[in-house]
Amino acid sequence: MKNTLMLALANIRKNKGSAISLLVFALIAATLLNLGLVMSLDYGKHFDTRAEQLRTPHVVIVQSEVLTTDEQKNYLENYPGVIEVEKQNILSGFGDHYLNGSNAECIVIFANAAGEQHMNPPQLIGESYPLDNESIYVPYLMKAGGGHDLGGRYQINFAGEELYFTIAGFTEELPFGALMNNVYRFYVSEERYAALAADFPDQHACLQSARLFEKSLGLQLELDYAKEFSFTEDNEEPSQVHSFSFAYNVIKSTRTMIPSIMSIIVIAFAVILFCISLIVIRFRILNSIEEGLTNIGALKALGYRSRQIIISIVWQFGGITIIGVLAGIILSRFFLPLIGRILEAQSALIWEPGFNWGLAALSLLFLTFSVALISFIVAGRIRKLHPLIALRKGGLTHNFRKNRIPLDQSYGPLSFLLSLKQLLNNKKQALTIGVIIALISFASIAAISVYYNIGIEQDEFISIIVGEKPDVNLILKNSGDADSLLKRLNARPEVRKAFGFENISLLADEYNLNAWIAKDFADLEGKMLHAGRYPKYENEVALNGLLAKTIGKEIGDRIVVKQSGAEREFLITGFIQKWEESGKTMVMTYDGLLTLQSDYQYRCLSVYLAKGTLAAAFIEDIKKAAGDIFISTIDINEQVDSQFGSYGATFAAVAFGMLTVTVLVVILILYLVIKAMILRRKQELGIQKAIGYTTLQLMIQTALNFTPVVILGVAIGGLCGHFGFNPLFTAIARSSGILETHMPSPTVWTIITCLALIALAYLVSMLIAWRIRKISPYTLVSE
Amino acid sequence: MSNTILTTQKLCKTFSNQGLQQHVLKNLDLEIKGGDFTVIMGPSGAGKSTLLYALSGMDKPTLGKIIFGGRDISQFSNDHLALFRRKNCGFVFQQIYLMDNMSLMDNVLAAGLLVSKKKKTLAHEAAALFEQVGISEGLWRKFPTQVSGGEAQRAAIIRALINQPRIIFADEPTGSLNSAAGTAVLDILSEVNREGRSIVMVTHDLKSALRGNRIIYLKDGAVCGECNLAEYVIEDPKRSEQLLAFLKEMGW
Amino acid sequence: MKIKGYIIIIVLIVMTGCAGLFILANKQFDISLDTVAVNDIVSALKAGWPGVEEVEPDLPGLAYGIDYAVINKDGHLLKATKRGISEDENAAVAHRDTIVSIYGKDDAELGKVIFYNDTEEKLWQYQSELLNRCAGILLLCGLLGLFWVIWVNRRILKPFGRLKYFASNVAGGNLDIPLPMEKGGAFGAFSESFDLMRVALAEAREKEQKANKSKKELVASLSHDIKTPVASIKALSELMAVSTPDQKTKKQLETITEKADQIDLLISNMFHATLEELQELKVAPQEVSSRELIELIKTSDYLNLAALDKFPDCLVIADPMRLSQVFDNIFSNSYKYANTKIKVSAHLTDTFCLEFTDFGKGVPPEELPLLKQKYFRGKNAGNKSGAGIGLFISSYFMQQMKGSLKCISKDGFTVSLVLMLA
Repeated sequence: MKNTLMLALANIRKNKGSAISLLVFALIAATLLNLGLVMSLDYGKHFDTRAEQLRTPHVVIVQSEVLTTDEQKNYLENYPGVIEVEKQNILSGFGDHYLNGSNAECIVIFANAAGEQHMNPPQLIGESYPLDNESIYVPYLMKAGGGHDLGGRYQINFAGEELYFTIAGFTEELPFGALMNNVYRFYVSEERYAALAADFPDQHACLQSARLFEKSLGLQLELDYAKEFSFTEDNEEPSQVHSFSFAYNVIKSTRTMIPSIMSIIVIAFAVILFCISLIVIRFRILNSIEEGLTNIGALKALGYRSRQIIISIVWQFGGITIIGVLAGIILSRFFLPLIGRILEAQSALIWEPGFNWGLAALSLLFLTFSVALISFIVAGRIRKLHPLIALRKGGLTHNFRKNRIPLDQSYGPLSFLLSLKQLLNNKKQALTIGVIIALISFASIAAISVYYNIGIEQDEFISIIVGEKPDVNLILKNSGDADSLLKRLNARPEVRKAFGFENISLLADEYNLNAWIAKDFADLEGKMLHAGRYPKYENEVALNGLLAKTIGKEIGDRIVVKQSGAEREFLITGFIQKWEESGKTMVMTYDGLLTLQSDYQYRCLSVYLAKGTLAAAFIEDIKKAAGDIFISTIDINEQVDSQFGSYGATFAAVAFGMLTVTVLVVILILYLVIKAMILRRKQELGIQKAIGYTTLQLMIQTALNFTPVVILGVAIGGLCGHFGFNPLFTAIARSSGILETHMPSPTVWTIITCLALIALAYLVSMLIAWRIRKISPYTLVSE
Repeated sequence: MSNTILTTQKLCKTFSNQGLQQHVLKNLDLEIKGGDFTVIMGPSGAGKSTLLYALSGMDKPTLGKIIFGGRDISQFSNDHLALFRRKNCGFVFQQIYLMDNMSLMDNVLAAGLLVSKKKKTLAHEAAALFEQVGISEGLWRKFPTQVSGGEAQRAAIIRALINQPRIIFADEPTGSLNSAAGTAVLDILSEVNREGRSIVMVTHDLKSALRGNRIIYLKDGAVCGECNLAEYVIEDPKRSEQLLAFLKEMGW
Repeated sequence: MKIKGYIIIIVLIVMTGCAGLFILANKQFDISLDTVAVNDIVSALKAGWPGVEEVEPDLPGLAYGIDYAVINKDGHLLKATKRGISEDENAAVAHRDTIVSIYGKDDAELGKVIFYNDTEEKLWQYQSELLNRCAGILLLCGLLGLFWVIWVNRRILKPFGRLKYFASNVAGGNLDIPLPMEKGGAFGAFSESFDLMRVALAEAREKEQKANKSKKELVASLSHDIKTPVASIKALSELMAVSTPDQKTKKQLETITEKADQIDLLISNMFHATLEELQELKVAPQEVSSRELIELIKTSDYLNLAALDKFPDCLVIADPMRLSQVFDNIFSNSYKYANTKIKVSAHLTDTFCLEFTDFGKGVPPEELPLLKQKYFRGKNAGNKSGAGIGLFISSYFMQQMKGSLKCISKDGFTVSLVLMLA
């Protein structure tokens, strides 16, 4: 034990450079792994804990007051598993709010701050003022992601009216306070609430919330409730805007989505890095065995057993790893709050990650154990080494080969040919480097693609999330106005096209789905469809692919759809996808819906404007021309900007981090390999210098030696990253019902990154090869 | 004086090892003329090899000047020295030092291509030289580890010759060879010298030394004595007698 | 190499075959009719009803590649995608075609669409595709097998051939031809051990020859060494022969005295060498680079009055410590008596000469020879402190370094040091 430890320490001291580089590898891998683990495991748990502390309801149902009955409350109270039920009067309706100065459509809920509320009561974060008639409590998101400050002016457009308040505080709001859900609850004083209630008689609504023994049962309760009350003939206006419900799981998944995507990326990267570390360690061990062959022989001759030597090697690498991992865990501890702050802008969840001993221990154990294991396995070949052979330095390195590139018959620059020869003689090493470079460039290209698609060219990503992205959405007060307005809109020159497009709740094969209705799906410009075709005739529908898979339906199968008590069989003609609704989406023709509900009419119109038309100006225009018939007019581009603008920064940070690590890895790996190579080829380099090679020539030769492998690795990794990005993204987003994406990988970016990586590798090689200058031809003689 | 190619002025070489200085060459003044076959002899540790490598620009002297073709190479940078070596010097080592990841031909071309870019002509020249020293094509396609020491050393001589240097430096070229291979190598060197190329050779071996026409005896880093054998032909027994007498005088 | 490689190749071939079979088995024979297409066609026909026969020349849904015929409710053919398919219900039933009714708004039947059963055609397609895949898999397996055979030939059969050639060489006593071995081949270690055997044999033979040679050499050198004592014995015997017998004892005693003298001389020489005249002023000359002298001079010249010329590079014999004492003395003298700039120059002949010249008054010529004497102080010493020993000691040091010290007084005072070259 003492002996082996001593040997290990001596070995580390002898080769400080590679010990340090291994340390850095272990450190990076541990940092990323720990970050990823904490993010993926701790973030969700934190959400749950916080939700329990705030007594967050597991189901929330918002309905128009007129539709709410005591029977419904009884149903909820008697539903198996329900612990408590709460019913509150609120005001609810379509509206807009402002995030970072741009207008965004949402559903607005006003609640009476003085009213009795047990579940997620208004919990203020940070400083606050008491409420008066002019002030309001807004969800914390407005501060974290919306740029609003305490005491600032706050505008809400509610049911067509503009309302102004002063912000008196920020609430920690779980069900109604995240970007993705797009429903926000505001608290006003009792007097103001009464005034608002008087002003908006049509917006009176009830919020029914329930908590259950098992929070995941919320989804089932929501479904059963909908089946019981929503799709019956009694319910006259099922597509009422302020009739909706959320289950806890949905709330949670929408709020933890970005962290989970990030954590998946980070963990994937950590795993790649970890693989690289293992490859590097294997390479280092083989190298040190080769270099220290005489030493090992001497030790064996002295009477050391193979086991002792192997254990010393395990000590050497395991020890370095332990130190690196510990440092990495500490480092990740510093990164976590940073990430927490970045995430806050989307999730509005205050997350102060504590030190998770369990996860840290897990990272440590996993990494150290794997390294120790691989050291043990690789070092095992010492067993087979006879001391005499080791002392003679023979056996392992002695080989005869074919002359691959005879200089007299090959063409090309001398340095290049010589480096190619060297490369062919070291195929295993070349493979190692190639694999590593491929992995790392794959990861960075994928990261860049993520950044590009989420941060720069968001169109495709947004269309995956929202499905259809027109320029302007118009929501009518009265559905009867739709047809005439559409005719007038289509006649306007600045309108490219306008059509009714809106969603209602439907029951398909016992699933409560969000059905999007259009007359002619050829009008749609989004890319919701990913297989088959859109419905064309009244007996056709298309539904989410993942849902279809779960219920075992294929294109060409039939599905039963229920609405307003009517039910009919429809043919499935295609699969669609839309992130926002977590896979519970379908589309159906207007005619098809009419067969279920014959009096149906649009209230929501999508307008595509001709190029060069300003949406804001158009909205002003149409408001003037059509009069006061709109509940809401939304500039979609502006809304999208306000909702998704902050993702760019988040993913830019992720991409930047990955690129940094990539560069670091490239430098480290080349450092290790080239240093080892120069050491091994010392004599040969000496001969070459003697016959008149300059240091620069030898440096170029050494650098070129790795360039073909690097180019190949980068090409393979880059191609995989470039073309594998969409499948990769799909794999991550699958749980949200996304089965296929066509996000463009930025070709120019990919090429530039690849070229930059190659150039970097070449430069780094040159830089490391600079140490060749120290080799003098004279060492040939003096040795 | 016109055919002097190499002169040294107070050439000194000192090795320092943790403060301890060891003066290996001390104030050497030497002159090597074109066409000379100079042999450097002396007891081990006398600084023979050090002198050879300093003369050839492989290593820089600590003090003093080395004038090669009118230029003081002791002030050259390492890269400048490399450029100088590839044109003006050929090397033959005791340990042969062929690059063992390359065939014999490639070893020669790896040196030749440094100076000439005409690959075809070069390959022809090299092949002709190989032919001349009795190495067939089948052999020069092989790797150094696959041929005998004598063959490898002959290939090394060709590598030294390929750039038509003005001087060949040989460090105990027969040291690692058996006597028959050694004789063959010496024959080649003699032939090269007869064609007018200067050779500076370090040796321990009497048989090798006999080939030289000027023997310099080095002792403790200084020239101890010099002996001129140029007046006798190689086969002349007097040559060997003179050399033996000289060496005895020197205390060999 | 190990058996691993061979197993991997075999496994690879088997796996390729298995994968091929799996692909074959997975390729299902799909005879289903595309219901979405059918719905499209039927719905389109319904929307266009009546008037199918007027639609010239296209029927809906031709792009699906499905052949169908449309009949009205009386069973008359209205239109078909091509001739020769079932054109009435009876023929359709016989051909196992699919018949779909078209219903109008009021659920009244308008007519029927007969979708032509193309199973047979599809079967043919399926079969030919199956055949192609089979051929592909066979080809792939064949290629892999071929590759394997070539590989085995290269890795096993050829090395065997080489081994045979090698063995015949060794048998013939030719131990210089190595056995080429291939990395990782089945014969790697095997052929290596054969080659080791060859090397060991060759080494043993060589050692034997060397041992014989060194024995002869030992005998030769011993005989040479013994010559000297024999010579003295011979000389002694000669002497004894010349001497008369009665003086024998005296002669012998003389000889013994002589030898004793010799030994005495040797011993005294030995002692002489180690004895030092002045033990506290030991001078240990060694080889010093001329560049180091510059450093020494600079440290001695603490007033920075010296102007150094370029020194020629060479190695001189000097004791750096003692030499710096000499320099100290020269500089302090100059500071004391001249206090001017000091020109330091060096030139190289057979020796290394250093000259320190100041621009002071110098000393009178008559005092010059006395300067180096012990306790001598010049007239200009005046009341300046000093013992008059500096130049004496310096001169002594220089002599001990096999060099010399000379003083010249001409246009100032010059001290000239001569050092031997190493």
